Amino acid sequence: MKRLFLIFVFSLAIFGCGEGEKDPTQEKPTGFVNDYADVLSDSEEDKLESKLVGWQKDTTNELAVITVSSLNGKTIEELAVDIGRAWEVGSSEKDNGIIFLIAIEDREFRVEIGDDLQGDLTDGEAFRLIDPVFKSNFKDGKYYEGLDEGTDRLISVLNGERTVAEIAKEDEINWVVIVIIIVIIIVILFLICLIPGGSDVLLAVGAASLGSSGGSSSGGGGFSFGGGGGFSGGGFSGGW
Amino acid sequence: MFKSKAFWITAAIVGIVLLLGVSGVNSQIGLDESANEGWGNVEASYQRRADLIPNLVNTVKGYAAHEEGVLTAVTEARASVNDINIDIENATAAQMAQFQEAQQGLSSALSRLLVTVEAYPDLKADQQFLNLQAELAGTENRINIARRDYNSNVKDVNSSVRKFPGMIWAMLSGVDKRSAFEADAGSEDSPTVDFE
Repeated sequence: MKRLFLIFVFSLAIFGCGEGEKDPTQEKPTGFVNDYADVLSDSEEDKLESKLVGWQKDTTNELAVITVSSLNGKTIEELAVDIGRAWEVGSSEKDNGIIFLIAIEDREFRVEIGDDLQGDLTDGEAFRLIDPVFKSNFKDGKYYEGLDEGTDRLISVLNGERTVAEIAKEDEINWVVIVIIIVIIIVILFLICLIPGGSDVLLAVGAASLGSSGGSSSGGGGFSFGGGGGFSGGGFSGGW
Repeated sequence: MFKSKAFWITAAIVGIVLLLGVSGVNSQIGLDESANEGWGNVEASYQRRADLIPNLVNTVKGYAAHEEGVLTAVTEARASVNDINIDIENATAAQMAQFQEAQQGLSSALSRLLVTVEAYPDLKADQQFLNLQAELAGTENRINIARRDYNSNVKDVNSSVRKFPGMIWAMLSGVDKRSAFEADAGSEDSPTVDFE
């Protein structure tokens, strides 16, 4: 009896291990963000999700974010297209879906641009826009930060608020600006501390700025994308 | 004669066969049409790659003019790709292989070019070149996806044409077996464009 019980426990353990990787194309999406690799916290997922829901409402463009732990033998390019088609990302009238797919263990990512958006964002532009953000953040395991900034950039370019060239230029001068700002802040802090009673003011300001922020969760229910699915391999891939 | 049971039974059977036949023939033609569409995408993505090449060659020339051998190889491979016209609906496996070989020639000429480029840091930092590289990588990927899609179209057509009763409808629809892409020699080696 004891032996039977042991076998039972062992088989459970083995099943538990084998369950590991899911094939996203066989899964139902639960929202715009599908974190199969579980690298995002719940509140991070909510924040991304509500941004993408909002964008979909404004523009009908659908951006799906998917993380997987491994690719299971497919290339990341194939998996991205397969997911886009299986989930029918994008609206049915326009093939305006976009896929951000990240394979954590393979250290690869893919940005797949739907057929009707490729005129607005060429492969080269998508690369210049998103590659630096993903690479620098994912290297440090900052998946949320990378995805957050990557989606922001993509959204602002496709909304016509900024151009790729502008953002690329920002990337170049960014560090210069950061150094200058840090120097200025240090100088200001130094000056304030020189004034009698200045350090007390600093402490008060510091305490006041420690606010808190809460996340909201979106309601459940069956989620499905708009029925597009027109993907033919546009976009770019990279690794970190 | 119209009253005989046998007549009505025969008529019913003929009617059913006709209905089946019509829908069978139609769906087979539909499969054939999607295969043509799939082929259209294959050609378009190869064309897209060919269109990138003059620009790429010029950009590289600006930094590495004396790498003439590699550059002419690419230009020549592009020309030979443009020379190939294939009537896909009647293409034999041999013609298909020839088409593939020409495209493969361009692929390897391109990857040799990209290897050569490694020695030119200025070129690799050139914004225009980076852009072309990204476009090229995207195009290679489009080619892969289009080929994969076409192969699955071909599989649908072929299995319909070869199985019963599709083989009978095929005589009416005129839909023929098609040749698929073979995996490239030295496989899965679309020139890897590495952004490092």
